[in-house]
Amino acid sequence: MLEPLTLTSIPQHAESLRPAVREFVKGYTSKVPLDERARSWMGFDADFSRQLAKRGWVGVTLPKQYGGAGLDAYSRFVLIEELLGNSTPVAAHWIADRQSGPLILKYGTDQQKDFYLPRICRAEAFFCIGMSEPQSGSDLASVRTRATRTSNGWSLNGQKIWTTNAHRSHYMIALVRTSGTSEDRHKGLSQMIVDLSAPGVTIRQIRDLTGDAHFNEVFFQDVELGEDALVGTEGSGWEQVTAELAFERSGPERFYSAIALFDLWLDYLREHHSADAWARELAGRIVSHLVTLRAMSVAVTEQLAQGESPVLAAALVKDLGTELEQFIPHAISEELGRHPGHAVPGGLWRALSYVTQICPTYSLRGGTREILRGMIARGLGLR
Amino acid sequence: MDPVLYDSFDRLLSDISTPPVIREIESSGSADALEQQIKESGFADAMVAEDAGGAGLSLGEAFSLFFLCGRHALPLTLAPTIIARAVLARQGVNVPEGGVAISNIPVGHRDNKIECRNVPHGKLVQWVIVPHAGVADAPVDLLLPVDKAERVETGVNASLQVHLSWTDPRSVGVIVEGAYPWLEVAAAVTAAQMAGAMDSVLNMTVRYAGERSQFGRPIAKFQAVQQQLSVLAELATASRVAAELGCQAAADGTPNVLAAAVAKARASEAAGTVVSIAHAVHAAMGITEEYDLQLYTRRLIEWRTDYGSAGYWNRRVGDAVLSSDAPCTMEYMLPTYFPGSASD
Repeated sequence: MLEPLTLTSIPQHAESLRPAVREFVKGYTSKVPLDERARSWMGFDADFSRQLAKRGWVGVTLPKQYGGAGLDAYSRFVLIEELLGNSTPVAAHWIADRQSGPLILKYGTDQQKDFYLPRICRAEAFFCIGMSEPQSGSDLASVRTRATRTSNGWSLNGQKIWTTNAHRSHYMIALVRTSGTSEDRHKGLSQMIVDLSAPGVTIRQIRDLTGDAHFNEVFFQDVELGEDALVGTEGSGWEQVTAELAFERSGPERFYSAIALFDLWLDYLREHHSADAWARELAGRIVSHLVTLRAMSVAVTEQLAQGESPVLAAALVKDLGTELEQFIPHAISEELGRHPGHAVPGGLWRALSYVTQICPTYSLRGGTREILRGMIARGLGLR
Repeated sequence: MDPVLYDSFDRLLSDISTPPVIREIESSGSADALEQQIKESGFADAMVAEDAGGAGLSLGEAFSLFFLCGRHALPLTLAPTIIARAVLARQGVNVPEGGVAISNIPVGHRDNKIECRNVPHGKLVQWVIVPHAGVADAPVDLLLPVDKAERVETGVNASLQVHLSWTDPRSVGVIVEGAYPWLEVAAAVTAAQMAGAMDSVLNMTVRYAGERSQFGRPIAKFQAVQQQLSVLAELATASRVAAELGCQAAADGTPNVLAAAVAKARASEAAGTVVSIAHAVHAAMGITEEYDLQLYTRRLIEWRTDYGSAGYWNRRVGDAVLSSDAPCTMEYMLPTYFPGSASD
């Protein structure tokens, strides 16, 4: 059965970080209008990431010896809540900060830590995650991209797809097959760090329906990797990836993704005094869900801070959170459309259109809704 | 709260609030034996200050008791009684014997008469706190004796609710000073009981899906069923967290009324889906009188609208956010709902 989530508050040592982050964020948000910030954590701004890094706010959970801040999961929660709650563009360093850095710290060799972690903390090394392939989506264990042994390392062949920001990243951590075939499923998979500037790597952007290009196809043809490309243990890639995903599923990025749109809509209602009973109720419904999700997310953070791996609770928060993130654009669309005679400001309209178009990805990235519910069912003892 | 206290209350209710006892009380409309057992347990004074003979629990700590009342479908008004006894004792009102219900806002104020519809557990209580009793254009909170009330049955099978009205209520009742947010707290306490009932509904439904076989295997093995049960688990978990948040109070005991609004809104919104999934998985068995699921789902259906449904409380939450001038929702939300967070 599922363990209950217990209400927890963020400890004071983590809260003490909040005022400085908020002050820094105001320096950015005062210059960039909210509707341009609707991309939330898909917004890519390397300069913004480097400014954060200068203040020590990239890789905050990494140890100080590697340039990190040595802070805990709660401090990172506060930091990213301020960044996402104000819809700042964090995509450039996001993956390295959330996943790749902690992964290298946990499984990497001393040389890997010495090389990559300081670069991550300085926002000089941006990472992407190479998981999906043309024939491997939710069925991740079927990946075919293969690294084979050479005299002095590995040779990589295959293809990844839907790799977010590969074209703007320096490195990919790829899940690849190092032995066996796709019939061997979870066995024989390993994680490799790939330098995306290496010969034999081809990156092709995929434009999306909003006009952006964040997805990529990445091709590997006889890419030479050194011995030190392997992260962790050969053949343990699946276990490592699974542990990594728990970090990916329960944070504030699972309920603040559409917050810029919600903020713009509230501002519009306030300015025009146009909130009828239906709109007031809708605004309240969204806040009620946000408040609940935030309390749940903090409760999961407590489990992470205790060193647990709350895979089920994280899946639960992500499924509920992305449901809200997808509800927000559709409900606001409906609300604005109830008054065809009212002029919707251009910024609100663009943000609404963007979020409505892109929001199907919210419940794809990090595990689809169906996969997450399957995990919860397993936790309930049903499978 | 103290796990020992939690476990002892959980065990007590397992022993005394059993399905046969619940059915007997629902059919007879009286609960003397169960009331006596609860009285002897002392839990009614859980929130009364220790120096006044109680256990001194805060509202937040008492959340777990309310949750357990719902999980065991306790057919008594214990949760509101715990609140009422603590508030009345603190205000120096002589705390009466017997169960205390909290009514919704009265519907009629004509001819110096007030009417409270669907008083929760109204058939079993001796006292009702009536918030916002607008007699003679002066809204006050009144503590009214049920033996002076005119009773009208709701006609709903097995329901313990009843309509109560009083003529010249001030002459028979006591004014409760202090402007305690009775409605909001009653809503939060109801949300806590709903979360408890959802927990039982989840457990029963998961168990049933593992036992019932069709097409040669337990229905729990079908993905379509698994996905529905996962949603049920999500909603039960969210409702529980929201309800616990809704039972938070400041150090001086002042409840966070907007958090209470969120709690009732979230649990009430979830209740419809929770009930639907549980009954769908149980199929026809679930709607029989004999099977225990109905003890919980009937309560969830009543509790969903008691003190206002999701829409009522969401409007309250929405009005608050719309009248805020914070630069963004996050900066509004943290000090309002999570007062431990830093704010500028």
